[in-house]
Amino acid sequence: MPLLSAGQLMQWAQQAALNAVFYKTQSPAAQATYMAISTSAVSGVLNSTEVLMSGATINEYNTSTGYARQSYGPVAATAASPSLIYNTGILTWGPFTSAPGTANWGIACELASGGTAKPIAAFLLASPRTPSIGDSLQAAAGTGSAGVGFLCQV
Amino acid sequence: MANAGDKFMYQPAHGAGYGEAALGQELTAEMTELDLKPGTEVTFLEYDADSGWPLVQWVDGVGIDRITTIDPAVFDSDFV
Repeated sequence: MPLLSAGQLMQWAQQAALNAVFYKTQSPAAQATYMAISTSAVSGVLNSTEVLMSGATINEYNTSTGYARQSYGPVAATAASPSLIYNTGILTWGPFTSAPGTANWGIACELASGGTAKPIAAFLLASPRTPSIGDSLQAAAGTGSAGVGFLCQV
Repeated sequence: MANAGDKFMYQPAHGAGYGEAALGQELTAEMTELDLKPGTEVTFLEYDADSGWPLVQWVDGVGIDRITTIDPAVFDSDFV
């Protein structure tokens, strides 16, 4: 299972977080969030200013491969500084019915499908993975330790 | 048209797992464990907002909740 770097909040999430904690706006209502897979190169491509999953630099796996976003299922943000949030269970994509390409990033977003979903945070995989036809792709559950699971900190 | 929450069973005539059938041969033991196997109950979630393909939720052989996009033709023929 790939180890993952700490997540970076994307533009929409940075704005939402700052507007919430400085009482500028009400936080979004609680709801499920999802983890997408991106083939964007590990540097110089994925842009944190993307505000939609349809953005040109997102490069999400194509659903015609059997791929679908998985439920992220994070813990509540930890009572610590820096505060952390991470997935509590193993995430598994597939089985793939055609080769989906090389996975370099996980991108948390707020809808199960579609380009209108807002990207929340991007997580660089510690090593790329290229699943073949019939394969499933797994990522580790988080523990709160850096490099394990999809961990995001402020 | 399926509705959110509708239940289906993966029951292909060929008797192979969903990934195994796509590959056309037996998967490794690890991937077989993670495959969508015949007899698995799936729950329809929604049609993909872009492609219109069905998304189903199911539990794999190691107890992990999964979401998989299904080819519409296969969904019509093999999910009953």
